[in-house]
Amino acid sequence: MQKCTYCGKGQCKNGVPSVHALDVRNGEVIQAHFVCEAMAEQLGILAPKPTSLPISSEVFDALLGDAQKLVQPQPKAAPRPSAPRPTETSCPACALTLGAFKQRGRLGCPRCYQVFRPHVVALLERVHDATAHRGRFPGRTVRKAPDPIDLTELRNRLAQAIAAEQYEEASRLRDRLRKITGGTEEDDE
Amino acid sequence: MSEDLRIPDSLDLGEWLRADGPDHDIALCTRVRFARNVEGYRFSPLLERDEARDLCSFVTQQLVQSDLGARLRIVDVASLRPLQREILVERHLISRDHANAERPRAMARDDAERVSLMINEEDHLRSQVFRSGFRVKEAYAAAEDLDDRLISHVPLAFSEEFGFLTACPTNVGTGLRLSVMLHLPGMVWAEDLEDAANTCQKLFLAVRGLYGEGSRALGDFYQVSNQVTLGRPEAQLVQDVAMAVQHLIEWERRDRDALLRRDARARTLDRVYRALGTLQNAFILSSEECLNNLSAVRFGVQQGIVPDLVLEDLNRILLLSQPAHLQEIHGKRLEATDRDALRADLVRQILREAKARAEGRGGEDSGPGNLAGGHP
Repeated sequence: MQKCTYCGKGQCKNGVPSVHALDVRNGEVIQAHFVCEAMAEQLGILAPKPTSLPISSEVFDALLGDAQKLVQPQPKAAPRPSAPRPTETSCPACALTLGAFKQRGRLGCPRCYQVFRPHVVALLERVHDATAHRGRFPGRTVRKAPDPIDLTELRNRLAQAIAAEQYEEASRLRDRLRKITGGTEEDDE
Repeated sequence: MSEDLRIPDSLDLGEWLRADGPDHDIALCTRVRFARNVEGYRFSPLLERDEARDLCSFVTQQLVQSDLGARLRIVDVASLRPLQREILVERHLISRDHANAERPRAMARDDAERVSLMINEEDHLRSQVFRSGFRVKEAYAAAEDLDDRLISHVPLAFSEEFGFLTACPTNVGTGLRLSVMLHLPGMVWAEDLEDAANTCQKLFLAVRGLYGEGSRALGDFYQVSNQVTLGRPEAQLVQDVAMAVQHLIEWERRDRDALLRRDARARTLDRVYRALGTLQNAFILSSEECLNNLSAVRFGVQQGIVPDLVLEDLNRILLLSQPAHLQEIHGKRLEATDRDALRADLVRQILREAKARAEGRGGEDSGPGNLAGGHP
């Protein structure tokens, strides 16, 4: 067994020397150290292990849910660990709490979209840079009015083409505009 | 050396590796997916087991009664052997999560593997349409048609404000995810991929590995897909992905040409032929080593550097060298070390047959689609 650099024994006084640290200079290993984990922490080679879970008790409760209930007998009057707190918003249709939504990032049912609306809208803004649907509706393809930006852009391009005397391009753009506006686009040539 | 293997007919190339369609040398396959939920049920993650069973039976019943019933084969995923489930994942027909989940769940697919439906995945229904090559508009039109048929038989959760409602708000609105699988060795070797991925992100597009979210980009294969699903009409999302992918394809072609010019040429040829040598001669091949060498050889075949091989040979290796496919070919569970040896055998066999075919000694019918042809 490899001897500990610090106590010189096969079995370090703190345990098996399982941490191998190398001193490297100019790309070459000049010395190897073999120490146990506890000593490595003291020497600053290893980061100390956390003494408590690095998660909040709220998250811990939600993660364990009913499993925690099995090992920790609860007084009869105490609320169940997974039950929503009285002040916390929860969905009346599926009982999902706001905390659970925030933690898992998943909604429980269609109604959650209304129940947690402000939080959902804030999330949608961040993720999609939008908050409203502009696509298909069930059973039919949406034919909404053309985007005004597209029309403005087309009109600008038409004006530029006319100014540059590119009549073929202007004619093409005018046809496109007429098609979009259903023939109501004025001929301003 | 082991005897040549016979490959079951059920393990044909499927739609995504058919090596067909525009720009199929770079764009392997286009996929369009819609996420939908059935009205009256909680979303899948909150369903109790009996509710989930009820949902699966309702949806499959509606499918059977619809005109889709004759086209689709419906499968109870929970009743499949783990290996069968894994094969469906490797063929991109179901997600890894759908394969491994504990909940009651089903899937439906057509024989050509152009359509697949996952029932009770993260959303109640995830329909997918595949088209070989870069065929975004065609794939979208087929997916929309499939969606219309589903909508006419299944009442869906929908709000005028938020669109089609999904368990995860990242999919809400159109529920549309459009992705193109790309092979980009030129951009990886020219170290342009990071720039390309950053550009894609600015256009709200995601660049991921071969098996989507969380998967690694092995073998220089990438999936480019829309990240946003809300606030834009489907047509615009389709157009955005199509434009970005077209741009990436052109970028990849420029990089490939540059890698074969002047000083870069010898290095590129060396890379391609070292990879070919490894695949032709190795007796142990891990998945990663296989995919990475396959990428270089694929580059060589596409650029006309490597004679004798065709893309279909390489697609066959890409598909059949995956762990579950290998195990299905050998008819038993295999440890990783055994798989690595059998993978190397399979790859050598396919390359040997391709060479024999090219030299006109492969027997009458030994095209790339008949692996065992000429080796009775």
